[in-house]
Order: sequence, then C-alpha cells, then structure tokens
Amino acid sequence: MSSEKSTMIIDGKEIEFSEGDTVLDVAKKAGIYIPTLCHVEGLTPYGGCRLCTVKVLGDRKPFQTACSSPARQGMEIVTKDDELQEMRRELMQMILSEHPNACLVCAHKDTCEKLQDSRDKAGRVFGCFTCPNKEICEIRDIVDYLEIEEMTYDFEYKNLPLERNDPFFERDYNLCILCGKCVRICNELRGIGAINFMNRGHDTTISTGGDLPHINTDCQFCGACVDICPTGVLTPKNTKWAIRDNPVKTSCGYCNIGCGFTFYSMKGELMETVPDKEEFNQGQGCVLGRFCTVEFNNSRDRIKTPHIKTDKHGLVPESDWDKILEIVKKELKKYKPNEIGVLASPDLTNESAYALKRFADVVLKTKNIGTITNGDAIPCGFKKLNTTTRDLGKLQNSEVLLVINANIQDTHPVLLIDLKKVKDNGGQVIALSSQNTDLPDVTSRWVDETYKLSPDKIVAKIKQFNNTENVSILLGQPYSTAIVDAIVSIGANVIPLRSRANLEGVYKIIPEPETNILNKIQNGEIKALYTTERINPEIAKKLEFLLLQDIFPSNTSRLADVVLPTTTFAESSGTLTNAALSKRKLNAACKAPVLSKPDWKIISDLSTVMGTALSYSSVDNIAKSAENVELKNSDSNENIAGMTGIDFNANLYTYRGESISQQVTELERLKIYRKHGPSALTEEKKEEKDENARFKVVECVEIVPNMFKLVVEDPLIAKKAKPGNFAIIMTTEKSERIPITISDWNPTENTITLYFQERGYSTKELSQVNAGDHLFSLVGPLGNDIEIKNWGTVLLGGGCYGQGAIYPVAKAAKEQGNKVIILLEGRNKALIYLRDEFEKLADEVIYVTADGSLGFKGTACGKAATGVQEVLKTQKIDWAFFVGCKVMMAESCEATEQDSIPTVVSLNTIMLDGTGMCGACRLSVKIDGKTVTRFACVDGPAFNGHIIDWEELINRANLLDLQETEVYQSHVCRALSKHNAESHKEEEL
Amino acid sequence: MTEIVGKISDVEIQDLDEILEKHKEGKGNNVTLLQLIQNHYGYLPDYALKYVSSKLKIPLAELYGVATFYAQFSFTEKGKYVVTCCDGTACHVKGAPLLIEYLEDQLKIKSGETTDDKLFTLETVACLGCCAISPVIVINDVYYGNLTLNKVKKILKKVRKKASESTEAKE
Repeated sequence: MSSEKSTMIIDGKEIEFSEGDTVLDVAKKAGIYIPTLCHVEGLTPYGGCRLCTVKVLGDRKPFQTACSSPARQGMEIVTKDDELQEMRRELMQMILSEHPNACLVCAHKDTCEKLQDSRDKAGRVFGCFTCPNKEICEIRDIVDYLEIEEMTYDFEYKNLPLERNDPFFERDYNLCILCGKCVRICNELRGIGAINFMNRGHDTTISTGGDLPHINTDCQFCGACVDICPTGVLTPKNTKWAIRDNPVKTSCGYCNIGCGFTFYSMKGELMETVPDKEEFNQGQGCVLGRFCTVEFNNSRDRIKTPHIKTDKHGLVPESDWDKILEIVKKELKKYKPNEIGVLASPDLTNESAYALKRFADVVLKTKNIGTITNGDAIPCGFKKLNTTTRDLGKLQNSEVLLVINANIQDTHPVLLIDLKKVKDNGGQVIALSSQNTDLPDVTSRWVDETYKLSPDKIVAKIKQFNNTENVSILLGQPYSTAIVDAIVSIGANVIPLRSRANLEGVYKIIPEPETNILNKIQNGEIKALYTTERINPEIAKKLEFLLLQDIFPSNTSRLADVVLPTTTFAESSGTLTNAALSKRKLNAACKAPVLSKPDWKIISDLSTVMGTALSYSSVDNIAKSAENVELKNSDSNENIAGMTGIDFNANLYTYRGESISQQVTELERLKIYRKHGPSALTEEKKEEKDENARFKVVECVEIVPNMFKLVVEDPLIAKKAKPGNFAIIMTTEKSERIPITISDWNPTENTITLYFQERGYSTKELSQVNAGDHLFSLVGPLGNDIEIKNWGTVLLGGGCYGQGAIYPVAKAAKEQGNKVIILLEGRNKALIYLRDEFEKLADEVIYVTADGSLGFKGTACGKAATGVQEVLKTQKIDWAFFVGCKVMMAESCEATEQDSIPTVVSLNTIMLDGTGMCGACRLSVKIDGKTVTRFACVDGPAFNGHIIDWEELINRANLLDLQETEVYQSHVCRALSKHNAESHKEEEL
Repeated sequence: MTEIVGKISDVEIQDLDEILEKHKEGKGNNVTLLQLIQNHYGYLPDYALKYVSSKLKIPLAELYGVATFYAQFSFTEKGKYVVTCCDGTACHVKGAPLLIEYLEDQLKIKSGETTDDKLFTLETVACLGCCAISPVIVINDVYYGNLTLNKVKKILKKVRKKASESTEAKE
C-alpha cells in the first residue's frame, strides 16, 4: 500500500481515498449519497440491484456500479444527474413490480400517514401502513429520493404462503426483492448458510435446503438476516409491530461478551432490542439478545412489589417500601454481624456489587460476603488470567485458535463469527475437550482438529504453541489451574467464557471468602442471609431470616421472609465487565415494573434505614466512590487442584438464576428441538371434539390477501339476521371477542357468512381455523337493523372489510327497488373481492385503487378526490352508506355532507360485550348542537355519518396500541391455566 | 450428522462414500457432485444431499440452491422411461402442444410427473437444439423427430411392449 493518498473527483469535488476503497466507500466517507439496496458494508460487493450506478467520465463504459468499482487515481464520477436518475427510476420500478407498491405511489400518502398511526397488524403486508418495517424501510427512502410517483409496470402479487411457524421470526416472501442481503450475511459473515437462492429467473425465491422449516436446519436464529432485510420480508415474530421509539444504546447482559445493543421502548415498556452496528460486535448478536430480551424482561411473572411473609397468609405483597425496609432493619438487627451473610449475583452490575460490598462492610459489618456460583465448584485463576492479553478483536487474526471445553454454539454463539474469520484468514481452529461431548455440526465446520484429552494432556497441547505468534484461546469450563498457568506461560490471548454476564466484575469487587457462605449456612454459623439471587431451597430452609432480592418468583422466594423486587439489565444503568475485561455500559432503556428498584438503589435505601447511610444518588456516584478503592481479586481460589468451574451447558441460558426459556416459550421450543430432535416437537395435543359442539366452521378461506371468508353454522342467527347486524366471535376459550358484520345468511342451510380482515392478534387466530373446526362461541345478531326504504339512487361504498359488510345492505336496497351504485376501494386490484356478486347485483360498480390498477386512481375520497366526489359530480344520490377504515368513512361523509345527502356509516369501534355494558365502544355524536355519548353496540353500529366526532373516534381506536403490540410477545394466560390446574386437582381429590 | 446417519442404511452410506471418493478431485464443484448423485439414484434423494452436506461441511441450502437452479436435476424419483417433449419455438409451431396433450392423456399424468408404476416420466423442455426435425421427443436419450400423433402412438406402443417384455423376462 502506498503511503501517498490517491484522489478522485466525485460530483466535482476532489476526494482522497485509500487503496482498496470502492467508489461507494469513497462517496460515503465524503458524505455523498448514492442509493443502494443490496450493498452490505463488510461483505463482498454484489452489484445486484444496480441502483448505485454512477457515470464514470471518460471511460469506455461510462455506467458502472459504485459498490463494485474500485476507486482509481484521477477517476471522475457523477453520482446524480437526469440521465442517471431516469435509469435508476426505471430499475426501481422493475424491482417494485414484485413488491407491493400502491402505498408508495399513493397520492393520499401524507394524510394516511398522519391518521393511521395505529397500524393494521395484518398477516400479509400489502402496503406501507400494514408493514412492520415501515420506519426502517430502505425502499421508501429510495422511492422518495428518486421521486417515483407513477408505476409503469403492473404489480404482480406472488401469493406465496406466509412462513410463520418457526420460532422468533416470520417470513413473507411476497415482499422480497431478492437483494440477497440475508443470504450473503448468513453465508459470508455468520457462516451458517441456512438459506440460499432457490430456483431461477422469475421463480427465484429464498429458502432453506428442501424448503425445510428453519428450526430443522442449521439456522441459529441469530437475527442477522432480520436486521439486514431492507423490506418487511423478515420480521421478528414477537416485536414486529413495535414502533422503534426512544432508542437507548446499551449492552446485552446475558453472557460475558456484552454485545452492544440499541433498546427501543414505548410508553416506558421495552419493545425491541437490536444489535448496535457501531459497537465492537458490528451489528451482530445472538438469539438471546436479539429475540429473548423483550419477552423475558416484560414477562408477566416478574416480581413487581415487595413481599413479606406473614404467619397467616404466607408471602403477601406490600406496597410500602419504607415499611418493608423497617421490617428488614428490625430483623437484621436481631443478629450479630458474623451471623449475617450476604451473597452477590454474578449478574449484578459493578456498581450494585460495589454498593453491596460496602453495605456488608460498613452497615452490616460482616465479613460473610461472597458470590453465588450455582454449585460448589468455583472457577479458579481469575487473577492470573487478568495478567494475559484479553482482546476480542484479536481473535479473528489468530494463527491458532484453541477452543477448550467450550460449546460456543450454545453458550456464546456470537463468537462463531470469529471462528469462521480465523478460517477465512488462514488460521487454524483446534478444539480440545476433557469431556465426551461432540461438537455441534455447525461449529465443526471450522474446526480443523478435535481432541479429547485428559486435563494434563490439554496442558501439554497448549504448551506446544509456545512459539506460535498469534494464539488465542476460548476458555470454557471446567478448567484447571495448570491450564491457566500454561496459557499464561505461552502469552496467549485468552477469552474466558462464563455463563454469567458479570462474573469477572463481581469477583473482583467481592472476593471469595475463606469459607463458602453456603457451607456456613449449612453449619448453622450464618442465620440470616441477604441474597441478590436465589439459592438452593434446601439450604434456604436452614436460615432463620432470608432476605431475597430477585426478579422472578422461585422455590427460594417462596421460602423467603422478605422479597424485594429488582430490575434486569434493560431497566438499570451501570457497567458489566466482559470477557475482554472492558467495561460494557448499561443504560436503563425502560421503566422498572411497578415498585421494583435497581439493586444499588435498594441497597442505598436500606442503608439509610439501617442508620449508616451510604447515600448513593446514581450509578456514576457509586462508580466515582469506587474509583478510589483498589480492587483486588482474592488469592483464595488461584490455585485449586483439579478441574474447576461448572460445565455451564448444565445451566445454559439463565439470568439471575431464572431460566430464560422458562419465560420465552420459543426458546424452550428451540432447546427441546436441539436436545431431542424434530420428533420431540411434532407431538401436539389434539383436543377432543365434543359431539354437541355448536358453531361448526363450514369454510374459512383467504379470498384476497388478508381478507377471509368465514361460513359458520348457526341456525338461530341465520334465521334472525338483518342488514346491519353483527356477531361476536370467540375462536377459543382464551380468545378475545371479535365483533364482525354479518354479510350473508342462509336460513335453509343454517349458515351465516362473515368477511373479516386479519389485522391483529385475535383475527390472526381466527384466520387459522379450518373447515370442520368449531368456534368457541358466537353471539348474534347484535346491533340495530338498518332500515332500508326505497330512496331512489343509493351509493354504497366499501373499503377493505367493508366490501363484504355493504353486501347485505346492497341486497336489501336492491330488493326495495333502489338504483344501487357500488363503490369498492382497495390499494390494488388484487384486494378487491366480491366483484362478481356486486356486478350481478348492482346497477353500477365503481372501482377505486390507490395505484390505479383498476378503475380510478386514488382513494375513496379525500384530497385526491376521486371516488365519492366523482360519483357525486355525475349522479344525484339520495342515500349513502359507507363501511371501511375510519379515515375513508370520515372523508366520504365530509363529501356527502356538502350536498346534504343522508349518509349512514357502520362503525368498527373497540368492543367487548356488545350489549351496552362495558362502554368500550362509546363515541360522541352531535345532536341539536349538544355532544351526546352513544354506544356503537346497542345504539349502532350504524350512525348518521354527519354527526359523528371523527377525531375522537380515530383517537379512541389507538387506545390499546401498546397492548395490541405487546400481545405478540407470546404470553400464556396463566389465570386460566392455573384455574384449570386447580380444578383438575379437585377432580383428582 | 448423527441424526442423518441413523436414518439411512449402511449400504447407502457406502454408496455415497464411494461417490464422495470419486468427487475428491473436483472439490468445490457442486454441479459435478450433484451429477454423480443423480447418475447413481436417477434423482437427488433428500437424505443423500443431507449426508453429503454434513460430510463435506457444505450448507444444505447451498446444495439445494445449485440443484434447483439447473433443470437437469430432479428431486423426485423418475420412471424407467423419461419422455422429454420439446416445446421450443419450432416444435411449438409444428404442433408440440398437441403431442404433449396426447402423451398426458395416454400416460394419465401431467408434464413433470411420473406414472404410478414408475414406468414413464413426462417432461417438457424449451429446446433440444434439433429444430430441423421438429417436433421432437426424446425417450431415454433416443431422439424421435418429424413426429405426428400417429407416430407417437406407435412409439409409445413399442416402448410399452419392450417394457412388458423386460419385466416378463425378469420374472
């Protein structure tokens, strides 16, 4: 490489570059934007989307892709001019012909964006406002940059099935633009290769080998593909609808690597965790950090308030912190200092651990303070290991990488990247193991040699590399003092792998006491214990007083005298010391649940009550006071004969003693699969069919994307239904109640037909019923009938689910001898249904599509004024009826109001019981200048469209946004399961 | 690996190991490897790809990616006689669609399928490169050109007769 910098000219500016840069790199550094869809920094240039085409002046081939053209001395390029923009526009339109684009070119875009804040949580994405990727969509940015307003190519919806059954993420390849980013990151960077391009030409898709579900492949569910996807194809299952708000840069606290993450929250609740691109992990994480944090953190099982044991009722919640701390004080004062023990959790932050140490030293004045190690074997040689190089960045350049007693694929999956990089850089990977465990398939891809050796021979093997320059070691557990000595003697770069996030840090602050605390408890020397993590309940029984500070209930918390609720790594600030001894910063990203407090805060508050105030006001405050104290690792466990440290495969995936898979059902699924293979998962309990079950489903099919036709047997409703009525459905015993308009009924076949749209959790559940199943319940007909007279000419407008909902009214209006004009609205012609039925029934059918693929281009009405206004121009309408989204209804009413046409709308408010009891469906209407409250269920659902307070109605629809987003975090209704378990017990008795 | 090994017989493992032995020199060339497997089995069995994938440490998706790209590879077992009908421009103009329809009717299968008795597989391709004798069909590497419905009828009869003779001979 020449030391002199070369220069090139981009858009008339002279810019320096270094050898090996591509034109795109140079432009990026100079802050010049070149659009790309397929470029991934750090991976081989691909040149697939060709949007980064630039003009190279004076070259034989002037149009070259910036991402794959190396920068040359004196090169002169233009990144943006009319010719290039036109070319890119053409390319982009071709790409968009296979990606739903109606919303991108919709003239109504801005209004829609403003009013539709609560997104339809639809199954199939057919436009931006039903897309979970909306905020981070690269396609939208590029369409804006290229100013595309019209589509020249017809859009083709591929109608591929949704892939929703794998854990952690869902796939909708109907949105795929085949940029190949996911394939390349999976193969090139992560080295897993679970997915690849299948077939060719027009049929090309991305899939696993043999179209297997991901769980049956090598997929590690790291989420790299999800985070790199420029569209909404790959989305996290449980957090896909979370709006990425309030970003906080922090670190993951599950293992001792501490990858950098950005946590997002909504109304103080953790919503999404994404690996940080600017941190050392370069945007990479693993299944735990990426997909399990939110669910684990937001679990409903969390301990949220302090609890105290009472003689009468056992453990009861207590909301008064002062009162509870007074009780703790009273209890602790009963014991002499040497009768009190303190235990630190290896997941505590350095600051909390320091506060705890000070609490033991200054307040309790006890020497009995130690760290919980989940077993009796304590890993040795912390002090010695601190003297060698500890550098995560150096791993990939090692000549030899030794993996000792570690199954990193399960314990520290993010390090697999380094294993692959060592191989790519020509290094050697050697696995040494003192146990008889096979390496998993994926790991073994990069391992050159595997040895099963006795501890002594491992020492000998390490020493063989004495003269090799770059030796790195991934040191798993167990290991021996001799192994540590050998590592230190050859001066290797070592990364000790711990199962817990901050074992390094906590051990340094709280050295191991001479006698183990747990042993002292068993001896009866310690009578009262203040622990920040659960201990073995058998040992806990020996205590007179147990004060437990924890996040989840456990068998130990049931024995505790006082339980104090504390926080997770997402809710508290501080630092964690990682495997490379660097301090990973934690920043509180969300609110702690209810009354829980960070560990250091509880300790500080308790110290004040105890009379010796530590008075810490913040973590920085603690860090500052800790600065002046020299921290030393203890000598006690430096030299231990034999192998030490637990094999942490045994307690894989735990945080503060709680198994993560206990809270994250998907992780449990993955764990079972990896342990027992595919057969373990296929067992599904089939519910016994009750012969007398009612509400048999005759048909449930997806007629157009997201719209389902549901035909159910119910003789009573079929006899009684009238236009305008609705029914309330519960799919299963645990489902939400969903009100749906009855679209058709057949008293002779005893069936009713309903059209519904998948736009949330409960409708998703309903969409998955099959013919022959039975619905749990069906109530109807509810609501008032719409009185249909002979008005003359009537206009009936329907959008989305409204197309089905206007059908019975159209039928009745026709029977009364009206001239019926039907207006059907959709974003694309593929979304219009019941066309044949309406063509047969109505005198005139008008179509309006956002992208102009059928009928008028535009929306039903609004500023883009086609639809309703177009009809009003040419026809005299005597009565109008609209059903659709609230925006469509509101604006249609505005249009008819000008001509004072009587207008009726059918409202779809949030509704619970449907009988006027709960009031959830209330809305405001103006009658004689007065605002009056009405209930959509009993006073409606049809209302005069001109008297409704639309703004309030739209706001109320967004009322449960947080809950609607949250429900995807696969929680289980524990109230019901508990009830069932209890009733089973009673039966047994 | 262990999972797959448990499921396929030792004989098959031996066969596959032989294939891998042959392939040793062409390492990295997935097409040749897939061709060797297809030559051995007549198609690409799922378990064979899984075995090879874990043995050579090539991701399974990569093998499938290559295999699905080329029309020459098949994932379903083929019949004893593979009837390939050309539907390229020249053959199409000269009535290939009629021949295909006739064959589909006679064999009672759709193009791309195999008869239940595993005797015939019907395939259509875009061009066989011998447009001069269009319309053309190929049965197990034997070319039949300048076809009419009548000729196809005769050819089919001949092949069926041959097939029944060979099964009788076996018995």
